[in-house]
Amino acid sequence: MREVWIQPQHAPVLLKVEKLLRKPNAHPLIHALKGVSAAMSTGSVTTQTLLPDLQSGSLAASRRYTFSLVEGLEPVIQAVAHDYGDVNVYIAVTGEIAIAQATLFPVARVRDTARLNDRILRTEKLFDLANISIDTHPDGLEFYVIYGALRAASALSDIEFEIDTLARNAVDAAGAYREFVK
Amino acid sequence: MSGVLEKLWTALRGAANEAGEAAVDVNATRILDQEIRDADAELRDARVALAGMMGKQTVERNHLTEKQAKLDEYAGYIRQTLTKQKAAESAGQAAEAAKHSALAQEVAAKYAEQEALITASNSVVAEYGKNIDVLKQKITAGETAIRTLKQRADTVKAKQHVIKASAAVAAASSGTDSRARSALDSLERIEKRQEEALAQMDAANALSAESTGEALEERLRKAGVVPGASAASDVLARFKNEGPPSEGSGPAT
Repeated sequence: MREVWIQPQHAPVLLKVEKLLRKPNAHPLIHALKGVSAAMSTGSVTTQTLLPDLQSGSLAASRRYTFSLVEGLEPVIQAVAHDYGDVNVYIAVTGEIAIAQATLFPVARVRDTARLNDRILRTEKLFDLANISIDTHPDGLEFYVIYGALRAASALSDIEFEIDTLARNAVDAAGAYREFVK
Repeated sequence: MSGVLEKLWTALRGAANEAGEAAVDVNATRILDQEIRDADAELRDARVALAGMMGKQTVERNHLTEKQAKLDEYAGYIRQTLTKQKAAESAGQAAEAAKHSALAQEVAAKYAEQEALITASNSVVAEYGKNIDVLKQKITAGETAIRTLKQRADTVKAKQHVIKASAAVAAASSGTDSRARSALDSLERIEKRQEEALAQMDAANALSAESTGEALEERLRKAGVVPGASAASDVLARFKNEGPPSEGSGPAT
């Protein structure tokens, strides 16, 4: 029995939390609360705050990934996936959204974009947590890219999982669509 | 929300006609930001309207309470008057009874009037309540819409940052530079590594096959199938079969 001081309007939430904490398997809640308190104490996540987290995280520790910053007006994190042929994954945080993206191949190298697009629309679901789109670089060159978006406030392990999944999906997608590339 | 998408499609078509599809992302950001500002303004208006409506409802509720009190007061008067009328009737005071009866009639009319006012007031409170519900729903929907719009705008912006960064890296490195590796490059690199690994395995297999071959030859030799160490005894046996050697002569020279 102990007193709890909260904002009166949060009473229903506290009640729910209390009920969940009575259960013996409350670990998921505790895990989630850790992420929440980290997000609330460190303020909002930015590309700059994410980089040191990734560099000291499990992907970097296992030497499977190298993380660095691409300097610029809007800095972006570059991850090199050593397990997946050193494919480059770029990570940017804006507001509440974090994006991880890898370039598949230039549009200019595709023999028949209509057929490729058809194939992509039918098979994209195979690549979990990822979307495929066409992006135009400032110099006008176009690329097929694969990307995933998630909440910037997600736990580091979730962001790492997204990056790792994306790197694997990027190489798999390149393989799946290579027959359309010259 | 559908308005936003329509504007985006229009921008997309326009950009496609101008053969400058990079403009799509820029337009998307601009349109989304404008939509967020509009939705924010709408939300503010809705909140102001809600506050006003709730204030009006409270005032009307207070009036209702006052009217209810008045009604209770009238009810009291009616009961008192009727009691007095009955007392006068049983006392045989007809004139007094008639006076009270007239008074009761008068108060009852007031009571009916007040009852009508209360019914009207109740429906006004209920009407405000409906408006409040609608406004609250509108506010919730507006908040959801803004959250969705912000997420879309954030996604488009984050993508633009990523595009710029990957373009900058690509521009600063040569074609084979590992720093600007596309998934296709990486796939080819992985396959090359796998080919090399396969070739190494083939070589290792060939070597191990050769060594296994040697071992087999050795075993055959030991079993006397392949000429080798046992050949010496064969040679001696041949010499022995020649019979006694003559002086100065040896085996065939």
